[in-house]
Amino acid sequence: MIQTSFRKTITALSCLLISLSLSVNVFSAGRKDTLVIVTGAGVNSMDIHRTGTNRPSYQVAVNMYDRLVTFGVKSEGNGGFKYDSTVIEPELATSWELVDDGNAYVFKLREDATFWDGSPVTAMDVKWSFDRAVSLGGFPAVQMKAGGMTSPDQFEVIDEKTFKVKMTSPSKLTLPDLAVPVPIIINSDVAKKNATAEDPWATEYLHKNPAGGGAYMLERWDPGQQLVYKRFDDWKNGDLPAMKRVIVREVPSAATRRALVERGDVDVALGLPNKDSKELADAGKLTVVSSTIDNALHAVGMNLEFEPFQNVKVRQAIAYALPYQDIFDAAAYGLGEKMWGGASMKPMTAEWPQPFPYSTDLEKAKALLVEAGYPDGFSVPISINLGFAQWTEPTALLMQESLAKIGIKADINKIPGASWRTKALVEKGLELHLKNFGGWLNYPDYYFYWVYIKGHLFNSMNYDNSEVASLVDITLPMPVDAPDYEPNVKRLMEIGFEEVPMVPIWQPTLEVAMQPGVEGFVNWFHRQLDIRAFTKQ
Amino acid sequence: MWTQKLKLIGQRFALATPTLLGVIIIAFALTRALPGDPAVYFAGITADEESIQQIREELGLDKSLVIQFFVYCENLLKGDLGVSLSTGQKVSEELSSRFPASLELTLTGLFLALITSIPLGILAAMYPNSWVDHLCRVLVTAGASTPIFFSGLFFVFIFYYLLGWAPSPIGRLDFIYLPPPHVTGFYTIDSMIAGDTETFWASLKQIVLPAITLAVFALAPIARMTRSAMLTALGSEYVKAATANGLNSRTIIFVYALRNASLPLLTIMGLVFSYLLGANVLVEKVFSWPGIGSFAVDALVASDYAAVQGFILCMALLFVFLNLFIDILYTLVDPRVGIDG
Repeated sequence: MIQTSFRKTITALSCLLISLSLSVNVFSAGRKDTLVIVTGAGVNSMDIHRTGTNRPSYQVAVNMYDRLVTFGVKSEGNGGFKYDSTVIEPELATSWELVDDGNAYVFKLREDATFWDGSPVTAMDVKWSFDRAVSLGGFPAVQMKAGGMTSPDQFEVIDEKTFKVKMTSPSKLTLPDLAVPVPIIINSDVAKKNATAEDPWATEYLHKNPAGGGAYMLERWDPGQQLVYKRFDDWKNGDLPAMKRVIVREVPSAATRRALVERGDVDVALGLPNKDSKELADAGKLTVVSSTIDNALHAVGMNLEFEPFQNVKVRQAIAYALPYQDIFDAAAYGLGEKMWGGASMKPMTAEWPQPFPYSTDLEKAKALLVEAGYPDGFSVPISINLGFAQWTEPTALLMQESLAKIGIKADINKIPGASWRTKALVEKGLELHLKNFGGWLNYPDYYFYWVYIKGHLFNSMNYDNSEVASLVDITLPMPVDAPDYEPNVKRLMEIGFEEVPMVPIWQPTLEVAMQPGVEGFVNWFHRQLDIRAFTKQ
Repeated sequence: MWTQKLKLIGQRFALATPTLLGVIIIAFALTRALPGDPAVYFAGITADEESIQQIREELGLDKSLVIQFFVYCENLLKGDLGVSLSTGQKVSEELSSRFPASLELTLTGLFLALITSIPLGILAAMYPNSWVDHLCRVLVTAGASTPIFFSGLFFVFIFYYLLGWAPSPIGRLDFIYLPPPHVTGFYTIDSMIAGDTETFWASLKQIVLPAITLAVFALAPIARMTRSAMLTALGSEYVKAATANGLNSRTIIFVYALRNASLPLLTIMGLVFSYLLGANVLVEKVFSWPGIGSFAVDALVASDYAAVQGFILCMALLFVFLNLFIDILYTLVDPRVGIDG
């Protein structure tokens, strides 16, 4: 009897199934115009100015909003592109000039540029957006400050299509700082309509509803799963992108991302570990783009509050004791630029980054330790950031082994990602540590500003040198073609070589695998996804 | 009799209240004990002291712990679990979209495990040292000793990468489908309700491989427990008596032995279910499943207080109900626990 009723249920269920209409809940666009990208990191906001917006979300600022200017983009010939920090190109602004004795920029806005809702982009929108970037505090304010913009008074509407940025003092960093993802132009009418007394900058609204005029609009956002872009067909601020829709899907496991792109089910896989990238490149079936990140270094930092490291000979001894090639092979799988084995203690060019004049030489390291008064070595923990365990862990292990040979006993101290910033950068209390920093603005003096000056955030080494401080102060606003620029930068590097509070090991890369026929990944200084240049055959 | 049963259930609920209160306090205290400062973390890497302080005030972290706790309880009473900083969404929204995803996967996995392991366990007990028993032993050993992320990746490699039988391990639905309108949050059920068979099959296909991965893991304890419980039951006096009385073997096994063996089975099933929800994290990562486990782990890494507290609370509620449910099942199955006995 039980069986009969079971059979009845099955029959009923299958009748139900058959009688169901065949309404299909499927996207209609063809695969030809749609690009599918898988990434390991999820977007958590549509608003780059908001507190707590994570790095992957900067892609929204890049693709859905415009800036006044942008950097040039050049092909690297391998299916990939790279931004060019030396070329500044129009985006919303068609032209600009320095006025008031070099103390202000005046931008002419594009006449026919509109937002997605069809309303024209005006200088009032630019002013409102820039005011917002300097007023909300947090990361956007800090980034605007790097270009010398701190107060709404500096932004002036001259007329509907003319906008002025006043600088407190002339600086080469102001214009490039307007090309980074932060100073986006928001549709201020839409935003103001959704602002409240407690929330005058409409952070609640813009967090989930982008309101811009960029090349792509939001089709849907399923937090934790996917972000779907659709093209804004009336985009005037650049060449109209080729792809009509772009799906960015979150796939946390790198192994799964690799399997998806190898099977051909997705077009682009981002954020592949160096190991996978190397294997895919060797297999030769996919286009693998591996290109270095400008102004970024993976390095060993030595804290000068730790007594032995106060002696420059000890720091040099460590620099001679690092097993560079082994680390580069095991942690970077040979991808990136080597930063060791430079020819002389004086830099030949002002190129940055360039190899430091150290290579593995244990005899020399031992001799330096003896000279410094540590013939039997000492013990010091190596602190690493678990958030970047992929490279920090093998590097620390190889360092530990090599340092043991010159009598330095080093235990590995693993620090979770969430506390790294506090311990390494704020308290600056880690003796020997692995660090990585990349400057958004590609100038050596900008790197030295953040890393080599006492009290600055990324100077986790507590390095203090008055000559470096004054050189950076003079050089930072100086244009790169000023006569003093090159000698100053070379002198900075020379001090960096000689004093080695930090020893760079290599310049890291971004690794991307694409289907054959897909092109257009752009390696940006911000390392986030720009979908505007992609093409697919 | 019914009033008595309801009274029993009411008592269980009453007993659960102090547990929940305890969970709220412990969750609050534990998240505060996490290393790292969320204000610093979310201010971004280049933020200065001033902007960090601004964020600390915004998050209410500048107040004393006691005040923070009362604010938290007050919001909780209003049904406001706060906003997850790492995902930027309301915790309640996150939980309501992710919890059904995890539950759908776990229940499917548990179902698959049950329909394979119980018959296997019964057969192994009926014919000890036969090939079925050996098969059972091999499966149990393999299931218990294979780490779940390994079996997940292994299945992806074989069934997706090499053979191409399974769909891409890209989450609950392939990107060409849109999720069905939200009713239960279970895509397979919701798509049926919406009458969308194509989405139903698509979501069913997506769930098969991760569910099998979970099932392989869950199979071991259930099969082992079924086997040993059945062995005990089959060797007992009452089964001997039943056999002596000439009852047919079907009745003996299913009515006498299995009913008695099902008590330890129920207990182990409760345990396995909670185990599976925990083990989900790794499966979720491998199969890009937008579930609650990966949400919780990411929140923990980022010291995301609201998200972690919401997760703990949600799980605590789930376990209170699960235990209650199993207790009630016990009264139905075990005459000794019954009130009518």
